[in-house]
Amino acid sequence: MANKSLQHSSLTDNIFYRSMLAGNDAYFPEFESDDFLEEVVLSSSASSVTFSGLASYATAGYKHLQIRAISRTDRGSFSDNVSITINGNSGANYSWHYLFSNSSSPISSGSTSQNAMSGMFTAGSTAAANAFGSLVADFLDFNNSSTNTTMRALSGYNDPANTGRIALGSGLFVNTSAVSSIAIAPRFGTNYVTGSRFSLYGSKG
Amino acid sequence: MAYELIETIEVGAGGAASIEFTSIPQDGVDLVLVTSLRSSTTSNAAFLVLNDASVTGKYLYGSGSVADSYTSGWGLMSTPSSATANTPSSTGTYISNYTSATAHSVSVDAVTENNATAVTMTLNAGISTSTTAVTNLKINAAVTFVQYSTASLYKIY
Repeated sequence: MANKSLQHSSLTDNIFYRSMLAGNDAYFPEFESDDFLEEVVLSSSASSVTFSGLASYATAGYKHLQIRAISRTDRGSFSDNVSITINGNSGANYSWHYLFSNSSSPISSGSTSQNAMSGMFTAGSTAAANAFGSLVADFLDFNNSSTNTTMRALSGYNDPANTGRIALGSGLFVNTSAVSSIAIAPRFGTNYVTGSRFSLYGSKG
Repeated sequence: MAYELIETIEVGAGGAASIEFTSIPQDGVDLVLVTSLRSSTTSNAAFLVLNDASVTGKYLYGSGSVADSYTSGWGLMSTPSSATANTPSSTGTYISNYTSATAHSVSVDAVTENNATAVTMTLNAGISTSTTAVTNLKINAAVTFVQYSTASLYKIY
């Protein structure tokens, strides 16, 4: 929900307002459907971040979830990949694919029967200082217990010294359970570094 | 910027040849459509229609093994019946300035998934030939969308 605050008053503007609004915009309750739900900002390095208890969001009327993240890992490379697991399941129940470019011709590839979704990119420890990768990952109809979970993600980072990367990624969890938790971890590195931020949004449906 | 649900449509038992949003309210600026679709056939097609006018354009494509770009076959994506059972597609569509009396620009990012090499991934830029405000949005299947396929339409204002 959008934040509203008073921008004007007779005291701060030194003006006599005849209207109770005192120059402020009127507030109309908004029936927004794209809501910020929760966020993790790392104050120290962490090997993974998990959003759990997601059934409560389905109960509240949210049909689709989106994770927006900026992250950087401790992998000794300018690049790392992002891994996502669902419901604490780390069996070989995932596939993932990507359409990817690092300033050369695009490439499409993927893997099947994996232990996590991937196909998403972020910055590693030798990327430009303070450069973080960005990720937007969608989980549609996450509470449906009749379909497998398909994820769609846009990710990338810019590292002028080593070429950046950008990718459209997809992931499949071959399991029809409703999504109750989503865990995010570096695929090759050990930890996400301090300052990495992971936000969860929901859309009503 | 506020983001408000207009409607979600879920396909019931027996499937549906199309999903249609009618009487779209005209108090927004842009539209966002998210779809989770699966086809009854081996076709991955899902055609977007605005005010009875098709949307056409160009797209960057990945198959899981090959990347290319195309100008024909533009559309949203629906997981074909040949892919892993019970697996829907995931598509995000943005329609700018939908109440204007101009041709409407559309961008789409779409994926189908499969526990095998073959998938469809596209980044699309399209335009509708309709030059009136969008009041009707339809997604046509090649044959039918199966049960649990869903589409949610939002307005941004």
